This record gives sequence, C-alpha cells and structure tokens, in this order.
Amino acid sequence: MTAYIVRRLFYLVPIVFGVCLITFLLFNVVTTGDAIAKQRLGQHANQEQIDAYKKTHGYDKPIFVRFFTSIYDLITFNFGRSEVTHQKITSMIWDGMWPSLSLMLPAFIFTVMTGITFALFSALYRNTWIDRTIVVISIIGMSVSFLAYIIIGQYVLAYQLKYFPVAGYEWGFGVFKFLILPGLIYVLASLGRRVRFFRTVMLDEINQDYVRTARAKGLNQNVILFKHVLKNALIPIITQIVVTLPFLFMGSLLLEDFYGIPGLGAMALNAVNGNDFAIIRALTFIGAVMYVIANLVGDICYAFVDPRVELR
Amino acid sequence: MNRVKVLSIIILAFTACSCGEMSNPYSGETGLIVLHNYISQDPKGFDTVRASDVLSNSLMGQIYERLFQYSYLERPYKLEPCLADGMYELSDDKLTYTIRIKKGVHYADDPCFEATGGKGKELVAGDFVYAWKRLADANNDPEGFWIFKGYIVGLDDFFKDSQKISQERGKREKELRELYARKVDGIQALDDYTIQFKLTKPYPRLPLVLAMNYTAPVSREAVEYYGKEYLNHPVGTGPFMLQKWDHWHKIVMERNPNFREEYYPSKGEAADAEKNKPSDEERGLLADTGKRLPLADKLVYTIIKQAQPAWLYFLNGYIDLAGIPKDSWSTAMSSLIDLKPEMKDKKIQLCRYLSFSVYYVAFNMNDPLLGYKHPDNAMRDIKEKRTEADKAEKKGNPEKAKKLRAEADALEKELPFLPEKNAKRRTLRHAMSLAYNRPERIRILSNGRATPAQGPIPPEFNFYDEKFKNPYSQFDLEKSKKLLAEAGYPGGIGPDGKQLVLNYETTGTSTTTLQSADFFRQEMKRIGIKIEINQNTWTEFQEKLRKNLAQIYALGWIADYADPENFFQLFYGPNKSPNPNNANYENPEFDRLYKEMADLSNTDPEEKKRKWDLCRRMEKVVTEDAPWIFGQNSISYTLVHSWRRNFKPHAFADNVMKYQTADPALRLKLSREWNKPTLWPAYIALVLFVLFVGMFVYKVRKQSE
Repeated sequence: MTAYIVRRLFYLVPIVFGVCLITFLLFNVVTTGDAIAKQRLGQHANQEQIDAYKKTHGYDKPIFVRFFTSIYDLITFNFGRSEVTHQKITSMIWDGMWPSLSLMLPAFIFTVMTGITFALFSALYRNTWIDRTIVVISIIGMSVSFLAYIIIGQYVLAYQLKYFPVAGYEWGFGVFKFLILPGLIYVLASLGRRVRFFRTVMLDEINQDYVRTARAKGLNQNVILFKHVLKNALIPIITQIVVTLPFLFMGSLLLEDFYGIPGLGAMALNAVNGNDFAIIRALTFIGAVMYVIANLVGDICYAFVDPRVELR
Repeated sequence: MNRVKVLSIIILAFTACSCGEMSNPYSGETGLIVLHNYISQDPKGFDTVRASDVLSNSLMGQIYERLFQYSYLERPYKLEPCLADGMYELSDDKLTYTIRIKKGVHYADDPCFEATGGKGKELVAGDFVYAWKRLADANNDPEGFWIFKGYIVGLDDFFKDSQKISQERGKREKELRELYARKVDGIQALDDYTIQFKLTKPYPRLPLVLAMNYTAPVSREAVEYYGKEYLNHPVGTGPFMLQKWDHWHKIVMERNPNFREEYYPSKGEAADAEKNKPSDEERGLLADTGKRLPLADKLVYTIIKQAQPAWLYFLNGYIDLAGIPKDSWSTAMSSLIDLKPEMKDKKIQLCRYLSFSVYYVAFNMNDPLLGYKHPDNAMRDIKEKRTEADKAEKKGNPEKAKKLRAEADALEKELPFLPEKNAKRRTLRHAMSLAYNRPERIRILSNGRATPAQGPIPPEFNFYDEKFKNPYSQFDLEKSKKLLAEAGYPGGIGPDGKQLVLNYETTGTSTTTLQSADFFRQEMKRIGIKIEINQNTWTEFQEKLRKNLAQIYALGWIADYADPENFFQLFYGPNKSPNPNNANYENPEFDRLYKEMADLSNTDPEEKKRKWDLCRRMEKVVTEDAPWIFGQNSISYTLVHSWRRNFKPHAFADNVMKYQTADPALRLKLSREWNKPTLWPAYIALVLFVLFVGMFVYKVRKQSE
C-alpha cells in the first residue's frame, strides 16, 4: 500500500505542472504586464511608473523565465504576497480556511448523513407514499436556484423574522449564530441532489439477490440495511464524497459572498475579479494537491469497505 | 408524555433564544460611543504610498494626518492647517514653499518605538521627508508619485535611482539605506519643525495635494520594525488607531490617547434661502462646538460585499449609515427628494449631495472614423515616425522601418484633406452626442440620481459655470440625423453604401457596465448607427487602450482635489494614454490654455479671474471638439440613522470620523425595538415538522409490521 500511495503522490507532479501552466498562460498571455501595472497603479500612472512597476515585479523578464520562477516558488511553498492587497498569501489562506471549514464541514456532514438516511428509507419503501414524498421534495429542492435560497433565506428568515443575523462572522464560539442560516441553506440546496443520487445507489443494491436471500432467511431489516446494503453501496458514495472534500476547504463562493463569511471562496472570487495572479496560482496549486490527496483517500477507503479492492 | 416534554423544552428554548436578540451581530458594546460603518471591500492595507482608492483613504484618514485638511463644515471647500502650524509661506518666484509643523504632536503608542518603551515619539519634519521619499521609491509600488512628479527638485531622480536598487538580499538593504540617506534638494527639513519645498516650476496645487493621505508623515521606526507588514500595522498621529483587522470581516479602530488637542469647529455653512437649505447651526451641526476631538470612542467597519445584505443590516439598525442600492431604490424613496413613510417613521435622514464626478463616453481620437488630428500634430507625427524609421533601420530592423515609413507616407498623403476630414468626424461626434438621451439614461440606470453633464467640470465644483450649456448635450434626434447626414452618413449609411458600424468596448463585465453599453447601442440605433459591444475585463480594456484598439468606451472620473485642473488634465495632449487622457485628445490650442491655467492659483484674486476666463475658453474648445459625449454628473444619496450625529457629506475630506458621534442608548433602544423576532411562523413550522415526523414514524412502523 505504501508503494501505491507514493506512486499516487508522484502523479501530483504532472497534474500540478499542467494546472499551473494553464493558469499562468491565462494570466500572462491574455493580459500583459502593462495592463496589470496600469490596473495596480491607477488612472494617474504614466509610462515611466508603469515601466518601473514592470521592472520591480519581473514583468520585463522573458515569459518562460517568469513561468519557471513561478513553478519554483510553488514547489518551495513560497506563495509570496497578493498583487492587489500586498498581504502574505500563506496568512490569507490560513485565515480564510477556518471560516470556510467551519461553515462547510458541519453542513456537509449533516447533508451526507441525512441524505443517506432519507435515501435508505426511500429505497426500502420504494413506490410507497414515503418514497414518493422524499423524491418529490428532493426534486423541488434541486430545482430551486441556490441564489434564490440565499436571498429568500436572508430576507425572510434573517431580516423579516429576525431569527438569524443577516450576515457577518465572529471568531470563537460566537460564530455559531452566524453559521446556522448559511449552513441550513447549504443543506437545503444540496440535500435533494444527494438524496436522489444515494437513492439510486441504494436501489441498485437493494435489488441484488443477496438482499432477497437475507430477507428470505428472516434477517432483521436494520441488519440488512446497515450491515449489508449500506456497506456495499459505499463505493459510489465515497467517490462522490471525496471529490467534494477539496471544496470544503475552498469554501462556497456565493454563501460566503452574501453572508459576509471571510472564507477562501470569497477570496478566490475577489482574486479572479482583481486579476490577482499570485492568489489564483496559490489556490490552484492547493486545489490540485488536495484533489489528488482526496482521490487517494478515496482509493484507500475503497480497500477498507470492499475486500476485493487491492491497492498495488 | 416524554414526547410532550421534549417538545415543550424545544419551544421554551426557542423562546428563550428569541429574547436574546438572535439577529444582533454585535455583543459587549456598553458605555462606549461606537460608530458603525460598512464597507464593501477589504482595503488594500494602510500604507500611505498606496492610498489611491476611496476606500483606503476613508480608513487611512482616521489614522494618519496631513499638513493640511479641509474644513469639515464650511463651504465652498477650504483648506486649513492640520499638522501644519498655520498656512504655508510662498516665495515671490513661487518656487519655494516653507511650512512649519505643530510642536508636541505624538504618534500613537506602538511596540515599534523601542527606544521609548513603546511610547509614541514626537512628530518631526524629518518624518515628512521620509514619507515623501517612500512615495518616490519605485520599490514600494507607489500609486501616488504622480502628485510630485515633475515638480519637486531632485525627486524625479530619486524615483529613477530607486529603480536601480538591487533585488539581492543584503545588497538591497544597503543600497536602500544609502538612497534614503541621500539629500533631495526639493524636500528638506530645515529643523525639527520646518519643512521646505523647492519646485522646478510653480505648482499652485501643492497645498491641495498636501491634504492627501499620500503625503501623511510616517515614522521610520514603524516602517523598519514591521517591514513588509507595515501595511497591517499603521502607526500615525491621527485621532484613531487600528485595534483589529479581521480580513474581509471587520476593522475596528479605537481612540488614540496621544491625539493632539483639536476641537470641534465653530464655523459652519450659512443658510441658502434660494435652495431652501438650512444653515449648519439649524441642522444641529454646531451643537458640539468646542468639544475635544475625536468625539467617538471606537469605529467599527463591517465588511459586507453584497449590496442586499448591507442594506438589510442598515434597515435593522446595525450600521449607522448607508447608500441606497439601485435595486432597493423603490423601498427607500417615494420621489427623488423624499423618503418613503416607513423610512421617515424610523427617523432616518436623507443626505443628498453632488459627488464631483463625471461619467462620459469617450471617442478614441486616434481612430480613423471618429478621431481628430490637428495638422500641426500630424506634421509632428510624420517627422517622429520618419526619425523612428531611420533608427530602426540603423538597428537592423528594416521591416519596422518600412512599416513606419508607410504610416508616415499615408499621414502625409492625408494631410491636405485633414481639415475637411476633421470637420466631418467632429460633426459625426456631435450627431452621436445629440442622439444620446441623458435624462433617459439617468432615469433608467441611475434612478434619477444624476444630472446631465454639460462639460468637464461638474456642478458646484470650483470654477463651474452654471450658465454654460453644451450645445451637443441636449437630446435632439432630428438635429442629430441632420448632422449625421452632413458627416457623410445619411440614415447611418456611409459613402460606400454600408451601414456605419462602430465598436463599443466595455470596461468590465458587471451588470451595470453591460446595461450602460446596451443603452448606448439602443440610442445609436435610433439614428442608424450600429454599435457592436465587445466585453472586456478591466485589464483587457487597458490593453486595448494601450494598443489603440478601442474605438468607443465609457469611463468616469472623480475629483482628487478642489481644482478644475484635475478635470481638464483629462484632455491635455501630453497626458495621452496610458496617462489619464484616455481619449488621446490633442489640440494645440487647448494644450496652450491648459499650461497657462495649470500655473494659476485659486487664491490670488487676479489669477483667479484669469483662471476663470481660461476655464471658459477650454470648456468651449473641448465641448466643440467633443472627444467625449459628456454623460452625467452623479448625485450621491446617504441615509443616516437618527442616533448618528454631526454627519455632513464632504467631497474631499476623509478624516471626518473625528467630528462624528452617536447616541448609543438611542441606538440600543431602537435596534431592540426593530429586531424583535416574529415567533409564530417558527411555532407553526415546528408543529408541522413534529406532525410530519410522527406520521412518518407511524407509517414506517406500520409498514415494517
């Protein structure tokens, strides 16, 4: 297994290189140092100041030199400073990661647990009113736009009924009241999709011969569901969960934006809007690394839940 | 029975929570006067060399001070000493300014002052010189060097030399030390309390720029102690000091106990019967006269990026003042000057004021269809192109030389026809300007919050002439069509029989920008001109400007200081793109008038009179040449809660928080009253949920059986 993990970690090299190349090209070929300097220095800047900026920031160097410097910086984890705010990117990511995680992690766990429970019931009582109610509610939940949940939730629950703060964040235990509403919205908006997917997976399993055999043998319903059906349905569920893991760190773009949560999602959005190449580069790098690691964790989990899977 | 108990506990818990103001985002604010403001972005930091945007300035203005400041209440806008001990002394040749600074001013306490055990050191003239050298140091990415560039003896050389600093560690520090130790003749500390400027040419706007944050003194100790982190640890002499900065969340400033003695002003604006405007005294703005500043204990800036939640925060009473988002206009206003009754019931006050800005649609004057080239400038360009071609040939680049010569030849061939072409293109621009329905744009896209612009200077700004009416700023479709035909495009059809197609470049991709572009397209369609809209990001747009690829584009300008030069410089030939003259307009007559006007002061009566005349002539030249469609001058609306006091909008001053205060008891009382939760929907939802779960469990059990 160790050899497998090491080999998979080596996959990081081409993936990160490719991702960095694409981001670099997008930010350095489409726009030039002159335009970026003008954006940074403002409308009063003249050519002399623009040239000085390009020189101090290395925009006067050949493009391949800049690319390899950029890759070297990433490998040595030297993310540098934001080109717009001049803040240290490592600190920005560290500070932004916790609000994103504090919002996303509990909401995600709750969604997955609830989603699996509903899916199990739905599959177990398929074609009954229980199944139909769950499916209809799930489809309605999926059909409403995420932005609608955010705006209506904020206006009705926070502003009109005053159950939650409209927006904001607080470090420490005070954060709880700020996270309930965005967390609830995340759950509402994503539960339907998850229930539908988990239900399909469960139905595949519940129709298997071994379930019929287990029932024929008179096995308890809970044992059938939790010991056999759930365990065998875990592979696709794990696959779906692991691809979501990097996004828990990277945060939710819209939720953070509207609810004033200072997480990485909002940071990424601002960096894109402000052409902040240094931040985009760092976030892309971290995203790529986390994606590979999450997939690796997924593979390891497969081996645990399914003895037929071998990691070689 | 157990289930009933559980349900009762849930309901009780919910009710208990509701009594504790669930929606209140603040806690633990008692006995302090706190001003709650909101900002929509995280600032770029607190380093004065990068104080180029409105947001950074509004924050830095509370921490740093400058030599001069604007009078908070008096109008027209007037400079008064801030850190300066009186106003400046100017030599007869207008090339030497001597300014004395106040004694006994101290920086806020900070660990950077190691020699005094953290106690803030006294401000000396050398701190100003150091700050201005930082502004001229290219290694700091200074955004404000333009205020001194070309005017201060020796400072341009300092800027050039700062670019030669090595990037190697160790060597870099040594070279920087040597650079900063070098004497710059134009900025000198004659003693600890006297500063002298030596200028290369008269600069009447110097006192105005010395009221900008770029010029605030910074202590060398703080900059060296914090290094690159200085932007997060500002140390100034201002009324407040930074207590906490949670990025993208909140900025908290607290009163600086070392702040010098300064008192609330006793003079305000008089009443204006014509405009039905009460005096400052009648408005209660002089109630705190003579009180020591700052009046508030703490400033809280909550960062809310989206307009909708910020607006709801304001309505809940958790921020003291707010603008009116475009989409919430109808919920706040019943007319352009009147608030809705619900707002009045909450005793919210409306402040409506001109923001000294101009929105315009620019034509690229280098464009062959729309542009303008004076024959003198054309001859100059031909000569330059030929010289460049010779140079390129000598450097072994025959292709470039050939291209440049071809361009010079084409220009030379066009030269005899240039006056006629210029006239026709000018007529085309006039036609487009007349077809642009400004009142309609203001109504649709600005909720009526603007006035149609007549020229470069916005209304009520220094040297604005209210009698001046731009003949091409009126909406007149018939005249527009007539002029379009005169320009050679009857009904929008050109001499080649094809429809006139022009390209409009957007400066961003926001909804407002795209709506503006679409509005322009619709307006031009009415006279037969087809507008193709190209969407760009801001940097893509800048790139197109640089490469001369943009034809038509809309931009805006907000005044930096109270001098008309700030607007007229946008048409000055040598300021062509990438400088602020984005339209690349170049007219020798205008340039001559501008140069003359730029050297005149606003204070000397004779010079003022001459300046007024020059402004009128320049206004006439530029509106006749029409390098822009003069769009609109914005009117800003700010809503203020009743507990916030002494709020008076100011177009230039950013150090205004020291004058403002609040009534915390009233805020607490009203916000509690406004934020009582409505519990019945929650109880109904809870009952429904319990019923549903009960039914579900019952059915599941039954089905299992």
